[in-house]
Amino acid sequence: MPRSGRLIRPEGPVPYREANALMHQLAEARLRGEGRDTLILLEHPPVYTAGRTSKDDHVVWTQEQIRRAGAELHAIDRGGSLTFHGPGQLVGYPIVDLGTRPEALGYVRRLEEVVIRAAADVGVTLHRSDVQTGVWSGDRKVCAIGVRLMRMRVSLHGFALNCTTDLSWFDAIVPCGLGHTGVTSMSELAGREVSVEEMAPLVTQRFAEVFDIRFDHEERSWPRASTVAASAS
Amino acid sequence: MTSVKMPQLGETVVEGTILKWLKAEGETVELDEPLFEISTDKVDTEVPAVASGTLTKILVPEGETVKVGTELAVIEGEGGEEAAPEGGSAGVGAEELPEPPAGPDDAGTVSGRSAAGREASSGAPTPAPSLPERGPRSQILSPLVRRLAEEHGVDLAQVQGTGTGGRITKKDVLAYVEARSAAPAAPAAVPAAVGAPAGFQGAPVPPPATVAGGEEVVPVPRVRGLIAEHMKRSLEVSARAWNAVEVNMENVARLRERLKEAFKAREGFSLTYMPFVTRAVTEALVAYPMVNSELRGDQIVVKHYVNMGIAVSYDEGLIVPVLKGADTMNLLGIARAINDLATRARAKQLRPDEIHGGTFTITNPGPFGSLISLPIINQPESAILAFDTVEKRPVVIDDAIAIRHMVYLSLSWDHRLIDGALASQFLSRVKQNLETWDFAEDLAL
Repeated sequence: MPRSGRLIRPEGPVPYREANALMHQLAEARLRGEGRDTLILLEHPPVYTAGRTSKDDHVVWTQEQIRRAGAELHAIDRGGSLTFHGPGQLVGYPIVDLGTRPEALGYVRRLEEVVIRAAADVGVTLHRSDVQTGVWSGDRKVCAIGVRLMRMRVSLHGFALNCTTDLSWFDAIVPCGLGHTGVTSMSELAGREVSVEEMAPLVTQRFAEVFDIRFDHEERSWPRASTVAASAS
Repeated sequence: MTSVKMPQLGETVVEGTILKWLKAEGETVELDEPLFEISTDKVDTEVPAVASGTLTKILVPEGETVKVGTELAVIEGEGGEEAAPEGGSAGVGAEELPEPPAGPDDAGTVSGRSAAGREASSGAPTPAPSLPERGPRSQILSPLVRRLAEEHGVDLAQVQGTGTGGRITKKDVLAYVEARSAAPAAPAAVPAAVGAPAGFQGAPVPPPATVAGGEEVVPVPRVRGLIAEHMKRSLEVSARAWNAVEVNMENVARLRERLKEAFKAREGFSLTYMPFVTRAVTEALVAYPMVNSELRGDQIVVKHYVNMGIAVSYDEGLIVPVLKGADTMNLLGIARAINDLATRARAKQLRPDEIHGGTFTITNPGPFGSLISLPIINQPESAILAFDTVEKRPVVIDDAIAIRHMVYLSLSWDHRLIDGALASQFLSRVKQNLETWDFAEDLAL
């Protein structure tokens, strides 16, 4: 019998700051044993997020260039380096209680599995990498994964799947020119437009399957701060 | 005294890096309060404290990577000193005793479960199944209550249920935990009872990693890590093969010797061999485009333009700026562009579009004295040329021994796309270009 889960799939882009705040609130509630395991699926306005291990000089563009391009830059508590989120990219934030003995690697593998299966649903074959997280096509990354656990127990952050993403955004953050380990998108790989709207239900379905969750609480509007606590308990 | 260890975040995770200590030495910590943050190769997490007390010693600093189970810090329980037996009989290392000889999954786990284990082993009453009969529903426990009790190491027999029929609720457990951590006889006092003698406390503990004399341990810098991954991946995906030619550089050396001062005076930088080789290689790539191709899935992308990657070493490692449209430039244009790219690469001032889109790469270990090299292909390209030291060598010319400026040009190529015949033809073309072209015109000097 699958667990009951909550799906938050707002229409329209959600600013990074808001999504980040909500996921932390939901995770704290989850840590108190409240609420349900939740999957947030959304798109962000253009934003670069810098994980803990990234340094300033890994941003190739200047702050000024980033601002001029219409993006923001946030330093966040996720592991890993810099990444980009923006239009045409399906971002997933699962807030899942992994228990007192989290199988962290297994969790990341399951996220990768969700994306691999969802991509296969539209005829695109993707794979894992032995050395890096994320989901790949050959040498090109299609989906970035960055995970953090709250109190060694509840997951934060998640995955970012390029669907129709304008890949030139990634020019700002290629950290060095070792013949780039490039990025690509579902649309580029499928040879047709594969939109966020097309991938979202597939990712939801595959997530439910891989994590054995039944999304019986689905919300299409963004929970306002005051309603978060109410619906989490 | 409680030993804080590197937790295990999954069966195959063997080590972790301390990202940040959230408490400083001397600060008080409470059970389950975030104490430090770690990063494993896949996931980061904050780790809660396994006991309440004072963080007396941090043994592993931020930025260091250690094996699962390594001791990271010491928490002295509040009132722990009093609880320790006077002139304690426990010997050095006795603090490890309370850890039960558990399976591999238990090693280094600092979850509430092991805290519970410590409390239980200290002679506290065994938890459920036998709960005291305090009401008709006092025996019923929800999964949430069980989990909370397990996490916080709470013996439910000690908790007074305030729910319907004496049932123990979540609130009851949390209230018990709060009251307990406020009390001086916190569970942290228990391990202290078998702790080391007072004289041993605060004594330096040897660092966990074995470092022999004369050795130094430094974290892998990020650029180094990226180079490592990139190189390893290239060897995994490509079928690398290699060959080399010896080129008579006399023609180029003489021209360079003749013009170098005028060149420097006019251009402001020195004329090296690199632009000559780049020009000669570019022409050969246009002549043999398969060497300038890319295997993309089940398709071969043959590129009829040349974006030349030039490997540049700098203080942090290696970077490969790309000379875009090298096939549209003459020798002077190439010389200027290479000088510009290399200068800005070392100053870390390259623009993003200048470090990708390469179709072929040249590496030049010559200035460092290398005779011949076996480079790794810069993915997703199909070949890379190494240009080593130009030096005078005795060679046979027209059945006579002569002294000439010679160099080895070697090519690593992907046998999935290129065969030995093509690689040799390509190298011969480069050799012929360097040996026979008149480059003087291009320089306009």
